[in-house]
Amino acid sequence: MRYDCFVLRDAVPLISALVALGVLGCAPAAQEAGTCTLTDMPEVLVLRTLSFALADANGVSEGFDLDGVTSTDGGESGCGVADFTSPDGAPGIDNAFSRLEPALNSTEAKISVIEGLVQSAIDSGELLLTVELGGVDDWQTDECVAGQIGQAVGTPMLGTDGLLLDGQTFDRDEDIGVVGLSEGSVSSGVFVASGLSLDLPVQILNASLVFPLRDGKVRLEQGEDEVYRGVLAGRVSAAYVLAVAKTQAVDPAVAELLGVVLTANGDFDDEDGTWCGAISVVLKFEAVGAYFYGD
Amino acid sequence: MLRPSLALIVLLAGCDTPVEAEPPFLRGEQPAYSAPAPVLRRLTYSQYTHSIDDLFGAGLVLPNELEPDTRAAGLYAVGASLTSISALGVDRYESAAYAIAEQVLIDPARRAALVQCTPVSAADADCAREVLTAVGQRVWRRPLAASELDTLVSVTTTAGSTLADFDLGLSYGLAALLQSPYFLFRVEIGEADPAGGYRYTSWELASRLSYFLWDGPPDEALFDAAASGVLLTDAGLQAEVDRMLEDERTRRGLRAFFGDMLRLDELDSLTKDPTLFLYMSSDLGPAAREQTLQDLDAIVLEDDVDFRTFLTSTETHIDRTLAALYDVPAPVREGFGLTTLPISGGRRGYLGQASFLALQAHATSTSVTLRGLYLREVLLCQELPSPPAGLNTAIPEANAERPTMRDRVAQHLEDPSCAGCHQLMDPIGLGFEHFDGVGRWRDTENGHPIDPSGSFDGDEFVDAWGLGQVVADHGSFAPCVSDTLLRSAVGRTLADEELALAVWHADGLHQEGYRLRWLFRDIVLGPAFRTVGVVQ
Repeated sequence: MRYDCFVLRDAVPLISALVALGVLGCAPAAQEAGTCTLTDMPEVLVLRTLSFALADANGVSEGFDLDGVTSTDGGESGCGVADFTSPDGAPGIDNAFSRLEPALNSTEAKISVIEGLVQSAIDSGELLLTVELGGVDDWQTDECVAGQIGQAVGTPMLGTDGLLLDGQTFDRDEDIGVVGLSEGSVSSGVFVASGLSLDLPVQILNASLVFPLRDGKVRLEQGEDEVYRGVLAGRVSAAYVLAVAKTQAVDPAVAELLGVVLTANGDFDDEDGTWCGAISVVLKFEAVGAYFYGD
Repeated sequence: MLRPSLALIVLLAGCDTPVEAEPPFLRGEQPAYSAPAPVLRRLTYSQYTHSIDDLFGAGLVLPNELEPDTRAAGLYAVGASLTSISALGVDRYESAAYAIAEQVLIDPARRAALVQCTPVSAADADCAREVLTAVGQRVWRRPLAASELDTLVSVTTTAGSTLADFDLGLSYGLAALLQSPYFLFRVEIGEADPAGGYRYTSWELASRLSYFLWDGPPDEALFDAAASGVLLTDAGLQAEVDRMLEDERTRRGLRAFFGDMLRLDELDSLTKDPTLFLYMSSDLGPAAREQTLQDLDAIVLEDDVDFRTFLTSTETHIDRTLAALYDVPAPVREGFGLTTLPISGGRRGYLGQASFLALQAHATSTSVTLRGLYLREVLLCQELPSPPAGLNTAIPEANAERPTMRDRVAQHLEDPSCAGCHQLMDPIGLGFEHFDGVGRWRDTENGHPIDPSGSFDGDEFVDAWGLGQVVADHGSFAPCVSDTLLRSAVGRTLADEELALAVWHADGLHQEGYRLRWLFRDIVLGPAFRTVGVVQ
């Protein structure tokens, strides 16, 4: 399948256009949300924060074991890129992007700067990613929950804490398709689904890039403060990121550095079959309840 | 002993016995009434601005501050008859008068509506007299006496001559009208009634009608009815009331009354701790007020139904801000739209609205005392004594042993010096504890479940949903609204001798299915509105 994604030079004011035209549009639109049915009145969540989930110094990281194997440095599996351990001790967590942090932080494209730009896009309404869950009969255990990820448009209302308020109403972005999730279920209050195929806009170096996140998973759970917290993870084509960087007049030395670290940390085959041509990434988010007009 | 078959027959016969329908409630004869002496009411700020809008057209820049309105007996409408104008207020009214006159005369369309003649000189007395005669009657709400007109013409022509400009001269005459007590105050003294006693004059009655129903001045048709004297007849008055109640300006009158009674103006200065209430914004107070007023408009004017549904209806008008606060889908993208609140939300009626819940709360917390006190004083017209001087009335802070408001209120009520009054307020206020200090629903307080159940004057309620019904059904609620409307209409507290009349109006409200639109008419046609005592 061919993915025609978009790249914009001035990301911050244009992220909404990016999202509308390409973020989800270039992903295979899935109207069928897995094998479970999205009900007429799905529970709608809107992401109010989105940031990289980076591994700590002890090798602990949020995320998923995307490939089902536990890789070690120089080992045969996972392109020889070591996996991390989850906070509850599960091995095999794929988050190779985390290893780019030192390199990125040595440039002007510090992780914190990127995250700040993404947050600005959320707060201004340029990046309103939504998660819709349908058929949740029991928030403790439900083996069949339909889910999809889409995009909302509207001017968000921010609370006195500067974050999107819970319970506001948006328009559905009808110009883009929604991304269906598969194998959605709830266990012990945690929703997990796979089949995530999402194009995320992020700013790296001087360029606005689209992260085509593929074969991913999503997990979320509701906190006592009614805020949903979770992670989404998948693999990103390293070649694509490099190609984009080169079109963005990035300092050649920095582009070369990026190429080196991406190549060195690729832990998945690319979707076009390139061996170890993709890198796993984990993003964490917070989401709050929302509504769509007319639903 | 009856045989079974016979017993069955008797039982069946019993079932067929028609249930005697409750006879409709009918109020009695109008009680004897002796009107007290008249009061002199100053225009409230909203009446002033509505007057200027109606006189010269909307869109003029009006002063943000004039002499402040003051409440008496819970109403600005009553306070208006107990206040005067300070030296600062005089300055403000004067500045406003000149500013308005200047804006009117500099605008070609407004000037053309005002000045029909063509002045032949800067001191054209005939043209000035023509203009001032017409506008003077509208501004002072009565025809000007010849001596009054002479004075105003003299002011205008003298200024026009000095400044060599007719319009500049006219601005002085116009400003003189606008800063006169005859404009700023409602002078309603009355006259001898040929049928006996005293009554308001037709001009005074026109003003009473328009400021009560429209919160603004009479229009041409009402002036005509005053000038012809038809307004002093029963039929003439009824015809005018019916016409006026159909007019769009009645919405202003309704808003003014309920804004006053429910203290909705205080929502402009709503203050909350932003670290505790995420939904607090400068939009919240005005939006909350608009929700309440649009609901009342629908109940009283559009649908003309039992106004007690104001406390129990799940239908309400909200905007996007309030929809988020109430956690329901916004019905419209811009402005306010009608929506039906879900039963599962536990919120209905005015007592589930931010205009009540946020206003009757502290900046950092809810307040069971303020919420309970408001129900008793504002919605039921009950009087509670003020706390004795020096008594610490603060409810204890939350701690591990007493995490919920109910726990702390229980501790508070252990003190006999507090319990005497707080027992009348706090247990009622606990019914709203699922709503935080801005009116957002919360399941728990400090991690502990909330028990909103209680009893109000012998009626049990499970939560705020039920409490709304208890208040709506309370024997004092409808009479309180009726009495408050009557006090607003006459601009004063009611004398003991008038209480029978107040009951008579409230009985009528009951008889007519609690339709407030009917009560507006009933009060206008009643003796307190039309007759007056002799000025001492």
